[in-house]
Amino acid sequence: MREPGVALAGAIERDEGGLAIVTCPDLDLREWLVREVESLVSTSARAFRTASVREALDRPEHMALLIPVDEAEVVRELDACRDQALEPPRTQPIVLFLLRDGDGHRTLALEAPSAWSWASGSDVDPEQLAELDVEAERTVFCDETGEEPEAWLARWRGDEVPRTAEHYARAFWAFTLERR
Amino acid sequence: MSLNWRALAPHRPLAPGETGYVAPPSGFAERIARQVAAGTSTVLVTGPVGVGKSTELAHAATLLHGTTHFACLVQIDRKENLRQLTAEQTLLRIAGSLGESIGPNVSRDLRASLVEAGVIDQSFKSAAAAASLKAMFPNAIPAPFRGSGRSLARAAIGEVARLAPEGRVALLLDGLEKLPEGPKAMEVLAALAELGDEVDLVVVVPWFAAFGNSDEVIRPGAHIVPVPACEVEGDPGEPGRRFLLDILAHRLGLPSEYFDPGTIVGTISTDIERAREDVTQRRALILDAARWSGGLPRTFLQLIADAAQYAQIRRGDEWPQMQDLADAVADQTDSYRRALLPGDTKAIHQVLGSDGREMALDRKIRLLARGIILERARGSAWSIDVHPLVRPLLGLAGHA
Repeated sequence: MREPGVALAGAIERDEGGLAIVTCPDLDLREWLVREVESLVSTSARAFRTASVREALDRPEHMALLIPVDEAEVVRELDACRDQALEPPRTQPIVLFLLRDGDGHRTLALEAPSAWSWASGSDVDPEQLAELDVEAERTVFCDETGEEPEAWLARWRGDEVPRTAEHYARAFWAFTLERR
Repeated sequence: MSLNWRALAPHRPLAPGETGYVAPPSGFAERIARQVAAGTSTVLVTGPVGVGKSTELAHAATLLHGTTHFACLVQIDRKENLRQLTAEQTLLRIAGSLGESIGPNVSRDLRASLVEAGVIDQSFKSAAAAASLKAMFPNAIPAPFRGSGRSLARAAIGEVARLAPEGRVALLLDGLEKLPEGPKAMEVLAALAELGDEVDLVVVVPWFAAFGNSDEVIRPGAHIVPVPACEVEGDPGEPGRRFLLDILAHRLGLPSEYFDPGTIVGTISTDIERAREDVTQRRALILDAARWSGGLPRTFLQLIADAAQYAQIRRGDEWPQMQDLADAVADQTDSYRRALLPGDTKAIHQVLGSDGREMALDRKIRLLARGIILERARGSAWSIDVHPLVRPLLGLAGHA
């Protein structure tokens, strides 16, 4: 099965020049997901927030957290400018936050094949993926780490856990299972 | 050996002359280059996203250049937002690319005009260059010539044709497939007709230009040639699977034999059977990914990169296992599911096995552009196939 944390980490990490889409159930959870991604990605990614495709493209060495004001327009612009991400080559991805069933996803399906292809396989819906047996997964997590997800995350957020690829994936998994 | 999976870069097409090109079973680039060399003046290229249009166009430019033609590849989508592109800016970009293609041989006035128009590098305007030009041409008019996109493009074609020993110019235009449908797109395509008969054109066009009479907008009698997704299933799919495996090997910097268990010989290793088994499993996984890709190189590379990512972050393994590939397939299937709209399932079922002419055009264009349905040449006829990642979503069996 695909663990939401691993799927999200994979979508963000796998392609330096990639476009990852994080699907959000509502605007409040969008803000929460943006903050979670900010807290979980490596500081070397130099993540920054923007609503502008132009700004995201102009800073290829930074992870752009693209939070649209107008989802449809942002998707259209990404579709039209996709190949500008090739020159100069990006070293960090663009992470686009779209509402589930919102204008952005509709535009991807209807009008924007290039942007859709760019993100294909890297568009994750953490909540939908998280339709899992949380208690069973928490047990697995505890067996593997010897800690509850909250305790592990507290150490992670306190910079007590080394920033390795494996630990980033575990952090994404932990935040999926975290009791809030 | 430590593998660099990020080198797969599924979204990066190869540049002209870049090492690592693998010819697809269709031999598309060679075919196009031969057609143009033989006198075909206008080729319109279509194809689903990720099929390799940009790589094939770049290779066709490499094949053509210096033979019968001076070939110039214009990657217009690297410089322009296609949603805002105008006919005038298209012609200016073409002029700029032509100017750059002859480097220092471009005339002073054309160079100055193209710098002024903002379509070639500002470094051409350096103070040193300006001083040198002033010394060479003391009586020159100081202001650059200003012309329309059409006049600058034609002036550039004229200069290139005069300077190039091949005489004839071929322009290969990539990126116009991203033009949104509408009157502005038709204006951009129509502007290409203004380049004149002295230039041969190979243009990647939007799908909507491949149906109806849109192709006539550029030049009457243009050839429309789709880049086909290669067959990857069953016996006919063997060359396609081999093609994708070779792409993977090249991108990882490995010889193709790396995935052939028969090449492992027992001179050093005492665990030869284990080594062969490992290679056999890797090969099986790669060929399975090839089948799931539907013959689209980008999808194939995405599947492999995704599976490798799962292997790394779950177990720290260098090579993915079948479960990793299964999850990568599930990720890609999710993307296709989101691209399907109400009515698609029924409409696809209705045209399965036919050439698809009964499907409403806007739906057909949307599904073809994304590779959700694929046109396959079977014998002498065309047939609509459904992408293997989409089939389970429609209640059909996955890949064969």
